[in-house]
Amino acid sequence: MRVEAERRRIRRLSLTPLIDVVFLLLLFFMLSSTFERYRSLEMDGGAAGSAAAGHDVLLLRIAEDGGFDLAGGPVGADELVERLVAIAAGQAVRLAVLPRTETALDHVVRALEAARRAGIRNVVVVK
Amino acid sequence: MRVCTRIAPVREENLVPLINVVFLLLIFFLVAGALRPFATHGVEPAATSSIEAGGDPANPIVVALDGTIRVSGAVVGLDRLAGHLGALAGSAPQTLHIVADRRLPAGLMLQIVESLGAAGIRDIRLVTIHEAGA
Repeated sequence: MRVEAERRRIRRLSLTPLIDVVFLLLLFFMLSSTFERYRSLEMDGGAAGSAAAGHDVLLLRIAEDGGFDLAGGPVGADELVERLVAIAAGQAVRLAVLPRTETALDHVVRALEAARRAGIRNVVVVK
Repeated sequence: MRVCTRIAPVREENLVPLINVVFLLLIFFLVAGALRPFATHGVEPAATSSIEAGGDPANPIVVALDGTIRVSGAVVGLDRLAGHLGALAGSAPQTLHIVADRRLPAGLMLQIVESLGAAGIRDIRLVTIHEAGA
């Protein structure tokens, strides 16, 4: 009996299916990935009247144009953290953030972040 | 005049450089990007720079600039929001993430927070975008 040794054919592997799959993966990751890093910021809406309950409440008003008004005096956005640190210094301060109805959320977030940086944990946003 | 009618030989293009580039792009997106944790529906959250990283916000509600509230893609009115969230989770959730547009009027936002608070959801977190520097 003659056994014929099968001759191995050297053939180049077709790259097309591989490219198809890689393209699909690339499309998927391009469409579903994001380069933004999300953070979350606690926002205490506060019960009605809770801001007025204590006597050591610091009031931070925010105007429609983003102007801050801390305890009755205007404060620039860049010096807000310093002022809050100076006032809070060591003592437990409650901060009530009072934006106008039309104030953009951006400014409220800026105020909340400044309070956070100043180490004030007890912050409520009131209306 | 002799017209040359030579047919160009049909040759398979060399695909290897193309594959190299596509592979590099794929690896770039895999390494540098992260999968989008939620659909933003065109909402731009406010930016913060000093908040340390936590986990990605799970299942946030999305508030568009016109006040439209979306819960996992479906538009829900403010009056039915708390009930809808309770029905989704089985009971009223303790923590709720809100993705709100940076230009959203604060009054509208407080109205939403207030009605959630009335439904027993007190731990409300506002989702922001981290910006380096400042």
